[in-house]
Amino acid sequence: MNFFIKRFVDFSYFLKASKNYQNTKRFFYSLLEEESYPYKKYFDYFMMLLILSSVMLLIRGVKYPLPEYAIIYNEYVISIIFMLEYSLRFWVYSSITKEVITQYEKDEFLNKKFRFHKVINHTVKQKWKYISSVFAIIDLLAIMPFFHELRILRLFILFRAFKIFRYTKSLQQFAQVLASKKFEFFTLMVFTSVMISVSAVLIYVAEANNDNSAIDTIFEAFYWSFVTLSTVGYGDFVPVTDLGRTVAMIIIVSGVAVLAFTTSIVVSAFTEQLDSIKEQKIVSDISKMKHFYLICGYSPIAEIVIKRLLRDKLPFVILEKDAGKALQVRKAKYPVVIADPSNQETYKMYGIDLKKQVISVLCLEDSDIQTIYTALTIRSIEPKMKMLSYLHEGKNRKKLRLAGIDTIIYPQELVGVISKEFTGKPVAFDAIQVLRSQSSNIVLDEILIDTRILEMKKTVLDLNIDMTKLILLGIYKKGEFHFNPEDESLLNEGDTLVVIGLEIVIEEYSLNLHKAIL
Amino acid sequence: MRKKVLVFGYNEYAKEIIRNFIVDKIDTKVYVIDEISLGAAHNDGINVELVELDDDWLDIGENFDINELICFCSLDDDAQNVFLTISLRAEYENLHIISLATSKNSADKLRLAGANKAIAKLETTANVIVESLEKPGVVEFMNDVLYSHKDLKLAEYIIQNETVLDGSYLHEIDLYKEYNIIILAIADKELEAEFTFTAQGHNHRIDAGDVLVVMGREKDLLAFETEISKAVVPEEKGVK
Repeated sequence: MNFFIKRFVDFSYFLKASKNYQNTKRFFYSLLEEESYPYKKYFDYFMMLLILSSVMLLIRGVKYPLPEYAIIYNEYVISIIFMLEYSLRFWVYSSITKEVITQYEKDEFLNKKFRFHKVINHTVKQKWKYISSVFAIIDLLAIMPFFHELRILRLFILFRAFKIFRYTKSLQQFAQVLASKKFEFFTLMVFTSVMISVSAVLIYVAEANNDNSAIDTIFEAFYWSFVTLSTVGYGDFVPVTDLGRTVAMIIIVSGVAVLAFTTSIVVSAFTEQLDSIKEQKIVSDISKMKHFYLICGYSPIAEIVIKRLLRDKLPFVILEKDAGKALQVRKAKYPVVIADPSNQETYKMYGIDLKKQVISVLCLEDSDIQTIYTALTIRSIEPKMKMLSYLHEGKNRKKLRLAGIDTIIYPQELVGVISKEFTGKPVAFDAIQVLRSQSSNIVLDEILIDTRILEMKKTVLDLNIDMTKLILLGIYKKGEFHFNPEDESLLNEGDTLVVIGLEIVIEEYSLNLHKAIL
Repeated sequence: MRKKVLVFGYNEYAKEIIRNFIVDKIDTKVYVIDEISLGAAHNDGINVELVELDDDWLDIGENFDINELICFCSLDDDAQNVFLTISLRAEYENLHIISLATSKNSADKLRLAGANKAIAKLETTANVIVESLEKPGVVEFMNDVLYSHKDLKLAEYIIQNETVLDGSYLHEIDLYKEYNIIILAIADKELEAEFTFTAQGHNHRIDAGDVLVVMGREKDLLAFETEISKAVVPEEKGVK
């Protein structure tokens, strides 16, 4: 291995090991390419703003002279930013260091001489793939006005308008939908081209030698054919001979057919792709959500739980494998993914990060069998996931526990206990129900004592709860409830105050407890 | 508390209701409307009887003291429960009826049919599910106070004529400090189903017939009850 190549391999290893280099590259990759990266949208907005300002300056410059600073901004500043963006995209598109190291290690393993030409070959292919992509070509053309000495290149500012495709997802989707009908569009194009060519030749033959006809050249004949076939018909060129008029009649009818065919292709493309577009939108929306509750299964109980979550403005995502049910949910505009919650692939495919995004999983499926299967799937992906489940049959309680469900809700048991309370202390129980249902502005709530509060509040007396209109029922300390605690009771981190009061008062009091250390 | 319980139906909900009363040794009887339920209840050793849904229910009046009885309508079908509730109410004005419904809509119909309480199964369960997510501490507290047999209890006391609290104001009561209890709310006898919560800050006048909702340990509650039951001459009553 010659000296230069050896240094190159060493340098590749150095870059691979460099955290700064890797983090920087990762950052730019996320910023430019990763839809789920939170700052990407701000970068896209910024680029769109540049494009719009550039095009507006171009329009303004048509009739009025632009001030010097606007010219500098349009031809240098924007171009340099675009050039930087182009270079960064070129850089992050593929990794040369990775190519070098992979090839080097492969050759070492096979006891062969390092084949550097293979690295170059592969790298060039990769980078060319980027350079020759439609977006990269548009990007490159948008940089051209930088070389404004060549006046023709100024017109390339117009290409900046096309760059907007890169930053607007809906336009990309529109292009994708049309691309799905490539074959149909190709057929239509061939038909249209043949029609235009044949009619242009015919009209030229019929009209060119007639002094009363405005059509004198083959270009004018093509122009007339195109305008007529598109059913626009400006009327600047009209056939005057019988043959010419006959051709016109045929081409008008064909034009209507071409238009109808085009419309039907576009409509059918959208109809076919609509579900896929909606699915993509949901995946994109989910990836943008920081935290949410994951509801597995859309059952009658799930329907009511969702209404409560909506009322309390809590974020959620539904996973339902039955397409019929899922579409019913989608009509209500809830975020639903048509997928099986008991399939591990679902979470990868839809980019649901159980550890980072999901607060808690609610297994509200139609049967305990399905619930257990889903719970075990989730447990295998994220062992510490909090899970709550609806129990259908009492005999399955132990199985649900074994599957790792933390909270089991068995409606029959719940109703049994409630029934008894209604008979024993109906008024007292009613009062508690009013507090729990949040139907009035008085609520039963909890306040967590954290380190921030503890810095200033050491005892119950320090909480100054007597100064508010709240009632402190007690404190949970390590799972044990201390009813009506004494003023001198000490507070600890993780304690939970159980209070009754006006919702707004509790909110303000909790806020003030945290503010107190400022 | 009423002393006898009559449960209609023998499904999983009914079984849980029965289990809760049997634990406290409350006399419980079950009426079923089909042979399968009859057999199942018999096998479980339940005091059960087969009845017709379109019965005139006169035997209930003959076999039970209506003022001591509480009826649970827990049939599988909401329409049957509504029919049963309205039939029982038509016959007995003072009978305490608690009916189960699948949804809130059915629960509303049951109330119209004359049920004293209608429990919407789905809504009740959904509320508990969401509460478990949002306020786990509150759910734990509710389980400790209402559903477990721990020392801490929720109690209600009807204010009697010419007793300590009759005619006093909610804010004036400071008995709770002495007895280590917390007064949560007061249900006004004139405003049915309307509560004045202590935390609302309204200075509600307490009259005879109002119901005081309090929380505390069993022995403290007993002492408090004894204290507020004492009869006093008008000028001595109220604050302590």
